[in-house]
Amino acid sequence: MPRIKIKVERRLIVSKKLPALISIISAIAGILAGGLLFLIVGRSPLEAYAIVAEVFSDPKSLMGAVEIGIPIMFTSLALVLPFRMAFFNIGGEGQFYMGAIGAMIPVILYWGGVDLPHGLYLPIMAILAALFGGVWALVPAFLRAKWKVNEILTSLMMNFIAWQFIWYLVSPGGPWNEANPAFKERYLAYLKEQGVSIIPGFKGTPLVPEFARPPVIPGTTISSALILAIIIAIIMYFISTRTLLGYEVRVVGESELASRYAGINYMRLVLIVMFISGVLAGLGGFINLSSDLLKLTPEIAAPGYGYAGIIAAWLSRLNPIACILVAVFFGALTQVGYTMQQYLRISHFVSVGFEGLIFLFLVLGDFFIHYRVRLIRGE
Amino acid sequence: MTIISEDTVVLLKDIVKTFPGGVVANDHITFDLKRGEIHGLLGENGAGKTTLMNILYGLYKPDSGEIYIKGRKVKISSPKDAIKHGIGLVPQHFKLVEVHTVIENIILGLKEYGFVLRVKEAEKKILELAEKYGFRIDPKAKIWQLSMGERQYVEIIKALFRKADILILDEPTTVLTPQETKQLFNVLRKMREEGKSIIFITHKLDEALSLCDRITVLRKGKKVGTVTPDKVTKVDLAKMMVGREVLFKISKEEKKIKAKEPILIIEDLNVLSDKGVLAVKNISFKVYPGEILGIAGIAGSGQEELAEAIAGLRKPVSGKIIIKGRDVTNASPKDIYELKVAYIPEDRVRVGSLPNLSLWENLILKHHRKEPLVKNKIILNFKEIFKFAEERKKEFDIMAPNIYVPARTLSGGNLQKLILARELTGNPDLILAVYPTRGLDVGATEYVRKILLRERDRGAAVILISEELDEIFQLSDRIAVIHNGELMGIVPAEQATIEEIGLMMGGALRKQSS
Amino acid sequence: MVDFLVMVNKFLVSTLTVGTIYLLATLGEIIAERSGVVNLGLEGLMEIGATVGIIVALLTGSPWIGFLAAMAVAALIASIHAFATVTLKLNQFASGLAIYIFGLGIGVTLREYARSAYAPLLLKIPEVRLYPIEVPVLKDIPIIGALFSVNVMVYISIVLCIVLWFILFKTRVGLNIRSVGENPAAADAAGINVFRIRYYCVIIGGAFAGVAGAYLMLGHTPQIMGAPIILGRGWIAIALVIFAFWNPIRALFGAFLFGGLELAYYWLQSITTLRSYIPLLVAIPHVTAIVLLTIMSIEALRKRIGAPAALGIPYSRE
Repeated sequence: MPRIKIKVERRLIVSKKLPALISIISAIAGILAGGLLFLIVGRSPLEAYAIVAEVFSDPKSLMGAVEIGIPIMFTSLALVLPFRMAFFNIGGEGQFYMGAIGAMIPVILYWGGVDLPHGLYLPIMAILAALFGGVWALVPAFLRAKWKVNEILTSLMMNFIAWQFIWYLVSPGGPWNEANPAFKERYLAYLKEQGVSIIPGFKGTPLVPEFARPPVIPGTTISSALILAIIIAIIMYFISTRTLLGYEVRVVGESELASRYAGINYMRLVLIVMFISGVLAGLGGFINLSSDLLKLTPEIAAPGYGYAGIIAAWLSRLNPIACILVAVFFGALTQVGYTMQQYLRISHFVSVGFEGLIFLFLVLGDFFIHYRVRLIRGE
Repeated sequence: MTIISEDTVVLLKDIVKTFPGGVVANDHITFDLKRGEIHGLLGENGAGKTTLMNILYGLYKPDSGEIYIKGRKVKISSPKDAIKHGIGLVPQHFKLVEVHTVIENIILGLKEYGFVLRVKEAEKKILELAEKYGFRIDPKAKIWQLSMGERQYVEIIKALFRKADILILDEPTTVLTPQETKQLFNVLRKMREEGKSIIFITHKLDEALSLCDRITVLRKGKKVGTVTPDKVTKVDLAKMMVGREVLFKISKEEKKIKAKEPILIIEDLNVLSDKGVLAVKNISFKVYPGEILGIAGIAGSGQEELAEAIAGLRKPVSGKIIIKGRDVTNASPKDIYELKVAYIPEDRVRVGSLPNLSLWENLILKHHRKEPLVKNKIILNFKEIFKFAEERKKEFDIMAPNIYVPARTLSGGNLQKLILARELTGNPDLILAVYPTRGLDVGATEYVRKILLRERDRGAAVILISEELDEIFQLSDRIAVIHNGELMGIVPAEQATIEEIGLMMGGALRKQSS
Repeated sequence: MVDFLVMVNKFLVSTLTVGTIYLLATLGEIIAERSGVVNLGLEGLMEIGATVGIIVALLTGSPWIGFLAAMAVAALIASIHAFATVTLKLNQFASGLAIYIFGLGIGVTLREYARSAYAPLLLKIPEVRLYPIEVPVLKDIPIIGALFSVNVMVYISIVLCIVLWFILFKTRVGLNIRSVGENPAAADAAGINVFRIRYYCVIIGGAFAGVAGAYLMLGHTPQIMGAPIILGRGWIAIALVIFAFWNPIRALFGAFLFGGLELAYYWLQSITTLRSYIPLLVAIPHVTAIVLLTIMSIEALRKRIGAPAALGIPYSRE
């Protein structure tokens, strides 16, 4: 009986379409495998697939997917440049949080009695979010450039620190907690008007007022931030392919040593690139806070937008336009998570599990970019 | 004729090995080794010698062909098998763990020294072997503390510990001084007396002739022939190796430019190596426009660190580097580049080029900030960039389908042309060429050497660091010799002799610099 | 004065108890990294280990079966990482990250599911958790006494640590592992199966991570909540490997140091002025990790002590 041998050969020519194909296959494989895991808890994977199909086919769900996907657009676009220069910024989540914190400042001041012209809130919040996110990102960048400190570990640690910072600000007794007497005059008065009272022990800030929320695209429930995201995607595309910065990023990503020989200043480049990255992630936090969360609470971490951004950027092969589409896809996945929470009584964290599976398949699938597997009949 | 006689310990029959990309490294080669002989395997870089021996040692699998060890047909699918048959390999690039001790390296992979390692036992045996064959080694030393010659003995002891009676030495003398080479040859002769059989891979004709009982010559993957030293001359061997009359002299014109002012002044320079030891010790010299200064020395004597210091990639701990009158001792690579200094690095793939980026992206590197390639310092001007790239590709005859293919698809020679094209753009005034022809085929080697001469005739100053004394002698106007980080002397090329240079390389002679 | 000593003892007991979490995770990662493979999925493996550990313990009534199950599941998932990095030679960081995110998602999800599906079982938690072994008399000795009022896993971990040190530095197996991590080409040439060693080390490292997570559950804070529980300890363990210079004995001290740092906020609570800053104090270990990493990098640049030389680089022969 002829035996079948598996022969693995290195590809000579790397096709341009293959990575995109592998991305798509990984996404599908991830979902299928995720459904199969349902067997562990004694449920049919078909239930899971049904929910997935439902979410992806219902136009209202899809609109929701775009909505949810907007922050992911920001966090994935944020990684286009750092990843391309082989700087593993895993700190998108923390930069996201810091952006939300920065954006919250004018709101807190408002409820504390400090007024600004209403039209200025959005721009100022955006600038503060960008600044906070950008500066937060500079820490791992500087440490890496100056002393070669591993950026994966430092940027991750910054995530947990930012997380604790939020806890500090919004916990009962904390300076931004809604029960803070500084807000008594305005916020409590506002709540009384609404006929709502404070929940004791609530870990969160007062509400983001109407005038501090980005407008919605008329006819939909989608935030106008989508337009901003698309503009940023186009800008990022332009930067990476047509500018000096994009070229130097590519060179460094290919060989840090050769880039040094070419006179490229790593410190300068990484600081610029990471600042931009932090800015974008921070803006994501701002958008999430002001369109969706409406109060700064630890719940901001629930969907893991920062981590989703990492996977989305990878899946998109660092192509900014693809990031937008993949972000919508992940928005849909997050929705799948929420739906599963309702019907199957599973934690919405399950969407993180799906994302992780997709990432796994993607990483494994990348093998086929450089190698080809052939089945040979032989003795 | 290959007869399997009682005397034949190794027979490689009709070996074929092809690598992806179509390179036929071994083309139906038949090779035999007799008991108690030293058999030289001679050929240029890329002739297939290392590949053939890697097959014998089980690191590669042949596409076809048979292997016979001591009369029996065997399959060698891993070094483990080779070791079982008594074959030991002393590789060209040592396979030693630098942070471990000599003992730890030697007993690695051996089961005889126990689950809980019996270190003292091994130490004793090592010292016994060293005594027996006539060399000195400290078993407790860490590898990074040892000289190249000592590390080689570690590799040899490794093979002996595994009861090897067939030894393969791959280009062992590349890293040795002439004196260390002599000592090694004595050790090998002693081993031959003990009945060991040795395959000696080399590209150095003199060594093959002086040491070996028989010499097999490979060229471009094929076996040219097997001869005995008494029946051939150096010229015959060279012809076999290269396939045509080898010109031992390139026609080189007299130095055209007689410059008064040096373009580069090195003053009492001290530079640290990666290991934190001084690699360059108090070196001083000058280089003038229109000349080639060849720097000879065994690899690892400090030349690489010297070149890196001049290029701005390594900060000296003391001393001065002055280019065109400017003190650039602590300057950045960018500053140096702006003074029109070109650097052709040792590592073509990882340092000299960007393998996965396209040819044009490689070609504009270093010039990428200049107009007209960049508009307003921000936006890339593709029209100008592609034009520039096409011109360079044509000028330097880089064989590739177009300027958009990734650099890793280029052959070694074409890659070096790419690097030259990039570096020589803009007519640099000082060129640092570090082992520029290493690993290149004959055609590419000639091309590179011609280019260097052309630059020198144009008026550039060239510092040529090379391990090929032939090359140094052919191209240089003056020859500097470095040994162990120190400058042993600078001699005008017409007056220099190989013996003199060899002694300086070995640290045995110092000359007043000219 | 007595009160103070009692407090110190209590602090040390907690430090040892919590530090063991770090120790187990760090030891596992040391094993993997010594062979040359970074496993960034440590935190994810710990989450899954925690979930599997407690659920199996509750279902079977035995914490030890819980530990075994956690070990097995984590090892299984780690083998995916081994396959990706050793056989397929893919980017080790990417593969590890994927496992982190996957482990985080699945671990938390399953836990939340268990909460609703196995609600009555939750009452059995006190029966399956680990309790400190209080050695009479010895436990009252100031300071040292702390060592005699901890649960059995603390002892097991310390013993494991010493055993690992011995194996790594005094035995043939250890020499093989270290050589594979420093120079796989040299090990290969010496006849060692580089791939097999890396597989074993990654899988065993994963098993340790699973145990670490299960121990967090069963030995420290048993609960079933649908929220992440490891909270960065796995990542700190990865940093600890660096602080420990890949040496198990140093890891011991580092782990207990961070165990103490983690508890610092609890003990600093007694200082009233700091009380409102507690959430920030919880971040002390993370800030310390960054500071220590930076110091180490500065030192490493100067003295050039480093990681296993081949760490993070896939090995292939041709």
